[in-house]
Amino acid sequence: MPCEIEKKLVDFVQTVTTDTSIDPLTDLVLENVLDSLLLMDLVILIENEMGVTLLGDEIAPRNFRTLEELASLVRVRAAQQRARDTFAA
Amino acid sequence: MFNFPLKFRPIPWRKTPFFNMLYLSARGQGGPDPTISWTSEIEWQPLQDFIQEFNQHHHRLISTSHVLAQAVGWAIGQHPHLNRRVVGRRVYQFKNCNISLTTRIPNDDEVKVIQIQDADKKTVGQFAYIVFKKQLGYIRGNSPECKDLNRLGRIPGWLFRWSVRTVDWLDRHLPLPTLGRIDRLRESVVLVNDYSHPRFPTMRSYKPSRLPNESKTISVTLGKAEAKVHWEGDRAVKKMVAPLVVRIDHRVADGVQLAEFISTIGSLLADPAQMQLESPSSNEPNQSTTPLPSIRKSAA
Repeated sequence: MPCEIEKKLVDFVQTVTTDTSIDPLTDLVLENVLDSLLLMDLVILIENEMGVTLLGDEIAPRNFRTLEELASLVRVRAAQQRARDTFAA
Repeated sequence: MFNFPLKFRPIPWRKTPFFNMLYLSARGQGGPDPTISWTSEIEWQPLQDFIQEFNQHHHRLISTSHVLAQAVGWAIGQHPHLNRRVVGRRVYQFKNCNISLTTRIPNDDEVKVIQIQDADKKTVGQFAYIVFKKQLGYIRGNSPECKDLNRLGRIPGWLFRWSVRTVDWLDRHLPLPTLGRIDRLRESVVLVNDYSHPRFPTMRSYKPSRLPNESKTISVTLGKAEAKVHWEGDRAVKKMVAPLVVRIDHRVADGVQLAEFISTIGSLLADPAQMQLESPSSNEPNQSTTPLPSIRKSAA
């Protein structure tokens, strides 16, 4: 599952930017890859396809710097959401 | 609910420059086109260097459109005589310095217009925050503007056309108040377009159209950057430059005022750090602990 999230994110960013050299450790800010449009595209991907809702303050460059960091955030938020759902049930 | 964006009294006729008076006095439909359009170029690299530097050290992601919007807002603040619009045959001053920014919403084919109030006093981080919040609201379909647009979309076509024509006619002839969130777009004097994204084609010329109402006296458009050769002394150097197209209403301003306005935008974009010196007049609201509601299924 963890690898699947990273792979999905990398595939998506490579497709959108047409840059196949991007990997999970690429610094998207330093390489000037991350802009507000890509940020929005990633938010939609995470929320629609992975079912994970990000908090407003989490949608910031520090969490989108590398796709590996972003994947970890998605995993943490997914675990929190699952725990909340379990308690609610 | 109602807001009066214009000052009560128009600019006195005796203070109106002669050529502006000529255009104001000309017949409307079929008369002379009161549009001046000027294409200039801005240096691209200093702007991108600033954005990259900012994004590495701040918690808010900024992009070219945010810096462009800030530069335009600050330039309007420095040229208050352009913060005016025509109503009938009189020119009125806007009370506040507001701008509108067009933005693309990724899961929507439609371009949305976001209004930023008091744009002459905001930092680039505040611009980014406002635009981001509105974009997120449109993506998730839960923003008040989104709900208003959905309501408007349900109005029958004939009624919508009739309403737009009536409101536009009244707006062209009377200093109307604005009513509701969508109508508040009439409170800004300038429309800012950023077409500088690498995915867009290069821009050789651009004729920005005017909205049916006359609130947008100015439109500012930035095109995609491309490499050009410039002479520095005896040496040819390659520079990235982006076209900047500005349209203005000749009934409000003349060519010299337009040139000064473009120079101000150019100098602000050449060194965006100068716009970060003053402290912001209002603080960004803290939304860190607020969970945002999930996306509508229809957006998937």
